[in-house]
Amino acid sequence: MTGLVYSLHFRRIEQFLVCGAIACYAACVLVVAGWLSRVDDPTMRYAVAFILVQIAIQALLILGLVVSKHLRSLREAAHAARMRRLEELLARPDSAREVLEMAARWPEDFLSVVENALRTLTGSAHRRVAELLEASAPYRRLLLETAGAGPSLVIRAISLLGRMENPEARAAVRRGLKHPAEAVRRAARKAIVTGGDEDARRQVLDSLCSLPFWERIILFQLVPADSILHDFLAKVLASGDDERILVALEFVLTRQRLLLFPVPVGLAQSRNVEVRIKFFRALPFLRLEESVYSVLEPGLHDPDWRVRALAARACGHLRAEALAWRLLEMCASFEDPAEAGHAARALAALGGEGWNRLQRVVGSGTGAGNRIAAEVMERRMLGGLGVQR
Amino acid sequence: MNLPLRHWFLDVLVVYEYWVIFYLFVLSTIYFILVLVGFFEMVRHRFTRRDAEENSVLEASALVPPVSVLAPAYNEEATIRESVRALLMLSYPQFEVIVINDGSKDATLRLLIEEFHLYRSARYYESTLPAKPVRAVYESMDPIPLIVVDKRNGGKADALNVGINVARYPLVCAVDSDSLLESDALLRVARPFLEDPKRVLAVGGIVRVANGCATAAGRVLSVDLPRSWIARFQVVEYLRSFLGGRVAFSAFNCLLVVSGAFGLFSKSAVLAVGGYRTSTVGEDMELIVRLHHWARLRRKDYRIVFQPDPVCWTQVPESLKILKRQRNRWQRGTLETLWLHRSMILRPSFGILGLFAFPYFALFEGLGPAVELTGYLLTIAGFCLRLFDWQVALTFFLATVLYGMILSVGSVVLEELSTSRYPHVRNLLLLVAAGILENLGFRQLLTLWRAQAFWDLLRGKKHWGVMERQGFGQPVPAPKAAGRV
Repeated sequence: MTGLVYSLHFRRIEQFLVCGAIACYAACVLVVAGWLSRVDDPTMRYAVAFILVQIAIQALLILGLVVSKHLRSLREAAHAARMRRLEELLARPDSAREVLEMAARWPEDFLSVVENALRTLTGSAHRRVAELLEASAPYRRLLLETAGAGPSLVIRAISLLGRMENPEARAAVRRGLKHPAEAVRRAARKAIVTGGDEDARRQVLDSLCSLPFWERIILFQLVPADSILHDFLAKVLASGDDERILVALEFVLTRQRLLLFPVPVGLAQSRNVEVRIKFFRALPFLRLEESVYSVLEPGLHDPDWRVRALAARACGHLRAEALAWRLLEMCASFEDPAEAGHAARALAALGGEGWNRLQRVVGSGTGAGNRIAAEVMERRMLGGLGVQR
Repeated sequence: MNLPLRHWFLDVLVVYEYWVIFYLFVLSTIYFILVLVGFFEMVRHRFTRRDAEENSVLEASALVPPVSVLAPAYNEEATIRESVRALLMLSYPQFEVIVINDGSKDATLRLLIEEFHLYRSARYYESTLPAKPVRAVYESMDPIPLIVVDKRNGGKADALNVGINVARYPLVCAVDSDSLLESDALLRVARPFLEDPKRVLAVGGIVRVANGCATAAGRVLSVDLPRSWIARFQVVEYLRSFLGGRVAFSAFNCLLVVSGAFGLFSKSAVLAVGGYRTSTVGEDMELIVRLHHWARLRRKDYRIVFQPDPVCWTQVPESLKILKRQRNRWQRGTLETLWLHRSMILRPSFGILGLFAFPYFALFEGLGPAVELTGYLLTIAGFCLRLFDWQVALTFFLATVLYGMILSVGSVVLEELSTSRYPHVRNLLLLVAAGILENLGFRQLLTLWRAQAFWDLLRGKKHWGVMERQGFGQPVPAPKAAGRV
């Protein structure tokens, strides 16, 4: 049933469900009208039938609402108590037998507690909880659930098994990549990049380019910085494939950590303006094959103002003092507020000669470039935000 | 009156009365369908909503687009410090809060300057959207992303336009400065922009009633129902409107309203349509309709989305006098927008928007109160003239009222399905009672006020009216204008 909810065709299914619900409603009115044959006027008969059906639905809704709320409150209170008990037991090293007994009796509560524990614990504590899960009765069920069709259960199973290190669990998670529901495949990708085996991680990293932007952002944050990731990034940045290069640069921007391998400087001259934009945005975190000036100077003269603006910003981050003259030109000429703003902030960040030059822009007359320079100096003097992210 | 004429008049009366009954039946059926669609959407949302873990991951990402939060303020000295502090505490990777002091006559600006150590800044901005002159821009000496713009009074729309001019980020979030956003609301409301960055133009979040809730330091600590029945009726009304109506309209990409109290917009799209219109009192609805109009005319593939989980808490009026002013203004805003964009009605090129959503709004939200009110008056006239059998009239009245009750109770079911914010069975029982009772007088009163708004609009009434707010926690009167439901 939950497969319907996760279906890509849910909107169409929903229309049928709505029509079905209305048809049921109308059928109820017709049936009740049939029982009211003693009412001669057909309009009145149907109106009364309508009222009766409404009253019945109303009563059912209210009853269902109140009873379900009451039962849920009771269930949640009991669930919370059992979870507290399980958490206490998990915290004690000598309580394995009791935990396993409770796991057999209350599998859902046990899995909830274990899921939280595996998410928050590390090291030996994490290993101990994983071993308990492996030895528990619900573990077998989790493995079976990953092969099921209902996405909700599969997702829950994957998110738990994804935190285990045994081959059986990893194989089960990997199966999730082939599940018909996209939500399950997404959960499997998350689990694999966090802690899957090497082949599976490579497979997921290779598929990054075809994933939607927001999912890439999440995966970027989850993937650990190790040799697999470095190999992947190095290969992609040297690939010449703009789409893949853009994804790699997005990764660098998300993580904001310096790359440990040299990046080809040719990216700064890419024909694709998006690549140039992202390259200069990520430049403070890139290790280049050549001197940084070899890309910054062309960047500051790029035909696209966005590239120039980001190159200017990079000048501030990388303290490219030799390019202060060009930053000054950009600030004073004022072709675009963002470009002039970045140039002015970069000059301010350079300090010394850059700062003096910025002062001269402020003192040299009026105009938008002048106002932007004044704003930047003001922020700098007040110890403000300086060079922005 | 001669006899044939009298007969003719009476016939017209009877026919009109039956037409009104038919009209109310169709209206209730449409509401019923909307609640049903809302129900299935909420079921889906409940299963597929992303977990908190993903939000915390996104919170740390530099690729999440930065947001400028715009908070227009007019005479807000009672709540402004708490509200701004709450906005500054939002969980979001990169954002700036722009408070636009719209010529307040009280100490709003002075309090902001003192509280947040503001200095008169040389911040550069371009006056892309025309607006009343800016007197000064202030920024904080502390490392907080707060900008305060002091300008001449020009109304909420004018203040928002100034905010958009000053904003530096690609997304702008319009909020009421006396509403409280939940800490993750911005991240949740921005989610559609991440998921579908090229198509999404605007996203609205849910506005919930804060009366009765315990608040501290700009946060809602515990949720409860208000003590006053007027406010309780509004709780049900808000639930029905947001979880029923908006979820359903959003599902078919024909959402016509994003509440002025909480909406996130693509700045470039808002600039492309010329910003907020200052000549209407319903600037929030008008902007959304104009975005639709603009995008459909250019055959753009776009989406305007409602998200049920980013929550904005707001105070609703507890006095009939203030409520009347608010509803009068909302109705005038709706009518003005419908009139301004009347060319969209029944135009196949506008798709479901022109063929369903706009006619629905025109026929039922715009003209509905006038039709319903005349229906009530004619029923009374029919009784006096002995035209109707009282049993027939009562039957049809009951049928309509019960239909309304089912919708109200249905919206409480939707609330339970979505976030289940009200913790106790007692809360649910009170909500159900409010859902039933609102159909026995309150709804009719709103109809009367909304019909009066039609008349006021014809008379050329343009002002907002004074809206007294209780403030969060303590009763403080403040003239204010809130976003519509």
